[in-house]
Amino acid sequence: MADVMKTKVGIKLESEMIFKCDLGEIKVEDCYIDEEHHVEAEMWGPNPSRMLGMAVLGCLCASFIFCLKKREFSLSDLNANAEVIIARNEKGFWRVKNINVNIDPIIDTAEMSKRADQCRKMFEQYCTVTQAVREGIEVNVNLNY
Amino acid sequence: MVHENNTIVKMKLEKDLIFKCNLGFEKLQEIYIDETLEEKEDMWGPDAARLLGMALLGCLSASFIFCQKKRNLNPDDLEATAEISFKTIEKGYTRIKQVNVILKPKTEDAATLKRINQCIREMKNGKMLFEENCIITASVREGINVNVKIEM
Repeated sequence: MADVMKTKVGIKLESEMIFKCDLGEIKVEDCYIDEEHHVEAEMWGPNPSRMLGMAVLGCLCASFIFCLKKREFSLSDLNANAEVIIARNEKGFWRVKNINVNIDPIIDTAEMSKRADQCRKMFEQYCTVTQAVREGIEVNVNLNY
Repeated sequence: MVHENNTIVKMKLEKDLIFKCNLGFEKLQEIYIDETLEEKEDMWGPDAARLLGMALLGCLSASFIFCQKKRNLNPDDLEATAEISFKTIEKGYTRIKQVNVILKPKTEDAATLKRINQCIREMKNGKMLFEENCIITASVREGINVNVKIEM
């Protein structure tokens, strides 16, 4: 990632509490943020908490893979999930308190396992989003292999 | 927004630094996170920083509209943008420095306009009334400077 970079995103009201995302030329056909529906099957897209969870998850997994790639290792597979915990603060407002992340990579060889052990100690530092939100949200990361 | 439930999101490696998201929705076919940092027209989906910007935009816009709805009012339209800036810290790592958000509501209705002015009233902490109802912005503000402007 470059030293200094700016990026821009936009949204437009579609209806009620549903917003259409503007991600520029990125190949996403239709992306909506849905704060209207509460039943998953009815939702047009994620709500902001899910988007935040996905941002943290994507960033951490990319950082881990980036760390492996520095020594020419590539993963055959990886699964990950993030649990976003929301609770009231002392003033009674709802806030994101914790994001609990589980990353399950497939580590095939002893050499890769050795590199993964090295990456475990430092990959979170590479994640721009997680380190930025960590001042306000407790992010717990489990790397399972 | 006012209240969202605890939630779990999932993803799976597709290839290189492209991940397939599983948000659990039937109406969202496929969404990818692409951290390959290719040209925009080659990207399969947003990177993590754009997703964070989108989460902030969605949350702030919904909180703004929620504030109108408390008086049974709605803006005619609303557009919003978020500009995400990065910085390099002393150890050489890149961090999100700030997110500048602009909300552009449109209305011709005097009652809605009056209510908008109530919703954007500055509170003691220097933030606008509606911002307090945004779960995401208030949660990340300890680590990221989020500036919010309303343009009408």
